[in-house]
Amino acid sequence: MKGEEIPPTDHVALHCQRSDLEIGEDGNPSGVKIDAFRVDSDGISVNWLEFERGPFDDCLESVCRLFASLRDVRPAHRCGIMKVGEINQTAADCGREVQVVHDPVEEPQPNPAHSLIKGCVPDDVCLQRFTLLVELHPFSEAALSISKERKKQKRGTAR
Amino acid sequence: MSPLARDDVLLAAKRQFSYDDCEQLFVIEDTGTGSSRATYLIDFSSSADSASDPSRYIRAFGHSLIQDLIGSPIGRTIPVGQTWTALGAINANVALASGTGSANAQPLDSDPSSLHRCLRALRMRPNRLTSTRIAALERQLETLLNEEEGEVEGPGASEPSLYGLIDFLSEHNTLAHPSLSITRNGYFAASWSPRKRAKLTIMFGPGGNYEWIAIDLDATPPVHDKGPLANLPDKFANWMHT
Repeated sequence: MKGEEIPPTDHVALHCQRSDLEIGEDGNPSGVKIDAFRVDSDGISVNWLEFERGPFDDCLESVCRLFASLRDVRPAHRCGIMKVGEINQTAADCGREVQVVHDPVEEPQPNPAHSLIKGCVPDDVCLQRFTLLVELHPFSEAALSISKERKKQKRGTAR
Repeated sequence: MSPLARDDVLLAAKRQFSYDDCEQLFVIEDTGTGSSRATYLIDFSSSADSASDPSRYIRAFGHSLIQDLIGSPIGRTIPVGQTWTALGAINANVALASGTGSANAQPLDSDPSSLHRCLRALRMRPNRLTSTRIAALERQLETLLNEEEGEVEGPGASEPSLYGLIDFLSEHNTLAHPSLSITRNGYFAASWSPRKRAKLTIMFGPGGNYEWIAIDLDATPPVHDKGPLANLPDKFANWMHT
């Protein structure tokens, strides 16, 4: 339901592009930097992992596939997962009150899991702290194929 | 040459030519005197090295084409539009006409990618870092800067910032290898995490302006501190060893 607060035990997901990531010595992503949190006028866009209930791994795969159906997802990108309760607590420690709310989108492409972290401003000091809450997961082959197919179709439509 | 002086050369250079042996010639034009100063960027461990033993780097880096052309490494003055013959037995010329440098070696592509430029910058200082460290940096640069076709462009990377990072790691060679990122302004940032919810980040900004940020979410109360690198407290500096 639009505007519903997401339970603190649930998680939200961020699509982390190459320029959002820190890279470890093995050449693989090891963390995110503050740029991963893009603060728009309505908040930071994320996807609610458990908007459809199920085991964590199934929810993660669904949300990765959802990202891939909406965006250009590449092997170097990562799905960053944060626990809602930790977001709330970390913001409170910074003296901020944030809300993580469900904000499903209908257009231009439906995103039923879309949610917002509300209450932050660009370059907010608590965004630096949020970077430490993110756990990175690679996109599955299935998700990457969806993104590839989407790009192909887009190119076909453009022609 | 101190890291700051090296940055000054990069920033002041009006023209910069890269040669296929990964060495670089910086031409700094002086409109007042009508002459150009060709500065050869080399890798001294300290300024005292160049003063006491100007040929030292030849032993360190092997035979160098640009060294043959320019002669002694730093600060030779070459009048614009004239030809200067290199010292020594090599019969080679460097001509600077209207600010355009030409030599027996041809410049590489004039607009190389960020990845290309950064890998070249890294290879200019092979003896400053261990081979393990160089290999790790190469892997990190590849991932950060090797953009695929159609991918949203990341920030261009600052070479002076990379030099700052390399110099820092070579001066502190017992540190754990950091994670790397590039800020939206193109500056390199190195991070160390002593545990899951704690991180120290050093940003190698312009003009030797290096700053740190330390966060520890599990401290009571949580730690979130920052400052210039020169004032990094020991308690956070220790995080770089884990």
